[in-house]
Amino acid sequence: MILCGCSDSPSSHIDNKNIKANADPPAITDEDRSLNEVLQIDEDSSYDGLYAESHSPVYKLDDEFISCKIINKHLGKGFYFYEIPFIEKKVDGNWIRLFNNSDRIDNAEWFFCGVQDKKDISYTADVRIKLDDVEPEVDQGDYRFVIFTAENVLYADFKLEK
Amino acid sequence: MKAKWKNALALIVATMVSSTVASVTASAETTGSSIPIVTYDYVTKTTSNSVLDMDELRSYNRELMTELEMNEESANEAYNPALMADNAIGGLDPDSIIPPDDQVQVNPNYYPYSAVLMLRLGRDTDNDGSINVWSRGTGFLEGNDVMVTAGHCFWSTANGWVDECRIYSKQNSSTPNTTYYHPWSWVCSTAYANSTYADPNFDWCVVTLQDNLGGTNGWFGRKVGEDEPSYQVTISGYPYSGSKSGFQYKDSGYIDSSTTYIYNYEIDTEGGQSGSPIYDANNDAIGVHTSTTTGTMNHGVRITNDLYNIILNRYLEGVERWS
Repeated sequence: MILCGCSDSPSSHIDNKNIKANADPPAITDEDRSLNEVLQIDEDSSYDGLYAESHSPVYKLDDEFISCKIINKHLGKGFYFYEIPFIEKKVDGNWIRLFNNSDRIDNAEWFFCGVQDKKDISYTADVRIKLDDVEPEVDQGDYRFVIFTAENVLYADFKLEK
Repeated sequence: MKAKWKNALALIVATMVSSTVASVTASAETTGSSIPIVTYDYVTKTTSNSVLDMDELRSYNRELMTELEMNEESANEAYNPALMADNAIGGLDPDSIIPPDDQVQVNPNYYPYSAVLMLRLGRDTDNDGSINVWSRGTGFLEGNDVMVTAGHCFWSTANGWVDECRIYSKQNSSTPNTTYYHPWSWVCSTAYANSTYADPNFDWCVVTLQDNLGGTNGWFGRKVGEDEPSYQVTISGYPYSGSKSGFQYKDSGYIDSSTTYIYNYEIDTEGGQSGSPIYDANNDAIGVHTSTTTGTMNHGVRITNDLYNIILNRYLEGVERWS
């Protein structure tokens, strides 16, 4: 007798096996941190005021882009971040890194966020991922953005739905 | 000034103007004799998609050369406006192979380094009217008001065009020059600047500047590069790592291999040098440095026949505008 299993949860083609994933970016070096000096904007010394927030808690699978805001609570303090945001899916309680095959992947840099001549505001940057760039193709479930900054890694949760 | 433009509108066989780049399926420039291009007006922030008929462009370029009393040889020559020249860069000694990881600082007040420009590129990613995200790059002069750079300096599929482009001339200090310049417009291949897939074979951008920087700084010549390996070239640009930031560095070596659109080489480059010229001993640009992808091998897009004619067209229009 062959027993066929069934489940009330949607099946996922994303598991933790054989997934091509973005590797962590190379750590920023002290030497790389010069753009803020060129722009004459202070770099935050602590990075402990940074957090990330998805623009929407839920995105549709047919949305073209998903996006996330990086915010520094410390007024007038700029920060470096890796220009390509990564994406992870929660599978069986574990976060599985996917592959953001951005057109920038071969040229990715550490970008600097800061606004010249405005020291009394929180500096924020928006980053976007084209869902078509993500491999393997995403399905519904729990996800998070992964943003690398010069000093730490930020996460921002969101869901993908049909 | 704009009324003086006698640009290649007559050559455009189909045009669509929009505020954003339409989703376009990438296509190679070898398709027939027409290539899709996307033009961005930096002043009005307007994007135009069109198709260039390359036969007509070549014919138009010939007309312009006749009008300007130039021939193809003189139109493609490098130009040094009597600046001190650095022969060490212009003439590669075939008996002296420069190690590939040996970047040397150069003086941008000397030609041809004067024709290499530092770029600071800004985006307003949260659409609040202020530039909040900054990156960097390099460009090089190809005429009075023509600069060539990498397409990815100005475009990304996720974020579109850069919102701010600051062009620094003869930058030679960790403190940026107080004066910087701006583009007027630029043209990229639609195969690169589209919302679907940025084809790295077409990672170039031809920029028309608001100022005649070439008149004071000079410019590189241009030619369609040869296929064979062991082609001796130099790449000079602006790295961004701390001790080098704000200063121009070059390295010389050989083209190791090539495809129809790409040169591969082990010449040393760093972040920030995207858009640097790949040029030969006659200061003729044959490509645009674009990326490092595997191991120590770096890459640049070749100046193909089509790209050559687009640059030549912008060059001739610049001569007409500023002479």
